[in-house]
Amino acid sequence: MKSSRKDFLFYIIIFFGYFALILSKIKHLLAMPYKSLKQKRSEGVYYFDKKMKFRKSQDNPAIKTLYKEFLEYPLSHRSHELLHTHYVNRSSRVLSLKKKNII
Amino acid sequence: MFITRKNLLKTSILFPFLISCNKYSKTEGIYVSNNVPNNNEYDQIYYLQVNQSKCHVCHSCAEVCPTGIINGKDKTPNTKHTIHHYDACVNCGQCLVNCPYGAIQEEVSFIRDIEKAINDKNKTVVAMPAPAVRYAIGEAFGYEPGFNTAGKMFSALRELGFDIIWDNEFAADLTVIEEGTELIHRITGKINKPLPQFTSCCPAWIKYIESFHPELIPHLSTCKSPIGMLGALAKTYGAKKINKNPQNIYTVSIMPCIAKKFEGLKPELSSSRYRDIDATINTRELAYMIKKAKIDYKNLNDTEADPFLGISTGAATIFGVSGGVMEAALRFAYEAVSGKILHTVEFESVRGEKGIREASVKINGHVLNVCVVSGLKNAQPIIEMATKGNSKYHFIEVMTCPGGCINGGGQPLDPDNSFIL
Repeated sequence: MKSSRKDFLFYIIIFFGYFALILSKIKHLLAMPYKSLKQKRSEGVYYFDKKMKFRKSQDNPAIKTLYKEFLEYPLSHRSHELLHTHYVNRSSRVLSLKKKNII
Repeated sequence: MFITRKNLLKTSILFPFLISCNKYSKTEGIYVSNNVPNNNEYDQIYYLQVNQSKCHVCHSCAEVCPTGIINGKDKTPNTKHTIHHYDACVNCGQCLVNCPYGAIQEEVSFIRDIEKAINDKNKTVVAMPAPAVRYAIGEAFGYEPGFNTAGKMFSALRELGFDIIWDNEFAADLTVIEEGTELIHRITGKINKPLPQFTSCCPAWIKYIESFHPELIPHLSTCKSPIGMLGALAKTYGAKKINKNPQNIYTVSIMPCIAKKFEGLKPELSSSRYRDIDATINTRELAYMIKKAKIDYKNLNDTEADPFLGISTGAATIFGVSGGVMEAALRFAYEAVSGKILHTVEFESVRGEKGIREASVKINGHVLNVCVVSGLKNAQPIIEMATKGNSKYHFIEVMTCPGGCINGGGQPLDPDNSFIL
């Protein structure tokens, strides 16, 4: 099979066309900033925060009715009973671990 | 054929997977034991443990462990890692999500308990999904990380047999108001407690303070975490609203976290006169339950949470990311103190990826100094300052997992990080 000068030029042009396409694709890939899973997730959170109807807790209608019907006001007696807690000192356990030479 | 000890030994040698299948189930690449603890021994069990046969001694876990208990005292480079004692482990699960071999497994799971409760007709099963769960559960079903699939998750929960869905984002809003008011009262002197005030949302952080720095306990906000509040409200206010006996309500908290299993079993969380939180599962376990029930997650319709305890705001949805609690509290405190309406709600200075971020906010001429710690390993200087009493901050947010709850120990694993899956 013979190939003329015209054919040869044609193939060269096609080849360089593909070459340029691939090069631009690689360039595009290299230019794309790498995002870790962490970044993707936190970006998602802030994106959906912007789309919310209410953006401040005190605007939440369900919270307003909850305070009106049940809790009365923040840090009320009932809220202390249900929503607040106390903490336990667990340091003696860690100290005994230190004595036993575990940590 | 009788089941004798010898027989059992034989089968376990011939078919080792049979025994392991019974005891452990695989949820999204992590083995989870089916052991359900009882209330009394909640602080005498392991929530995480290293499977010695799978540990390749790559030290990824030791790099992220905030207490160093996974290393132990005698660190030689070739000894396999193990969690030496449950008392010094804060159950954050960072070792588990960072292990490239999937060698660390969960030792506590409520899946069987929940299945039993769902099949019980007398019980009203309430699902309470956390803000961070909806941003990551999609990953198990082929969605992009960070895509909010809350509507589909609610539908999937209803198909699984949960009777009511009360959103934990609602409780996050409530936490902001209670914790913000507490902060204002501490600054003005209405409450006689020391500053700086630490957030109390992160159960691993709470356990760390309780065991390693008990002198800082008065600095912790007395507010429960959002799930503690929602559990108590579900069995009092919620039960009244839906006309159900709180005895028959079974609350399931769905969390991006392993330490929440520890928190849910605490005896302090029983202010509704019942156990406020009956069961706790994490994102991976929920994905496992949805896959096991063969629910077509991608083609579900979007639905909403149930009324009364179901509406949420933007301030609640950012609870999942480090700095979110702080930003939500600032949005509240600004309006509560100044009485003016806040128009630009974004506080960019508390966002970002640094381990310690600080900001000063001017409200009515007063300066409020706040600090955000992302990752318990970065909290050391802040803790030292607070112990010495020379801290300039008023409010400090600490999240044990770097980046906040969205990267918690119960979230789907990072496919870039693992050699298995």
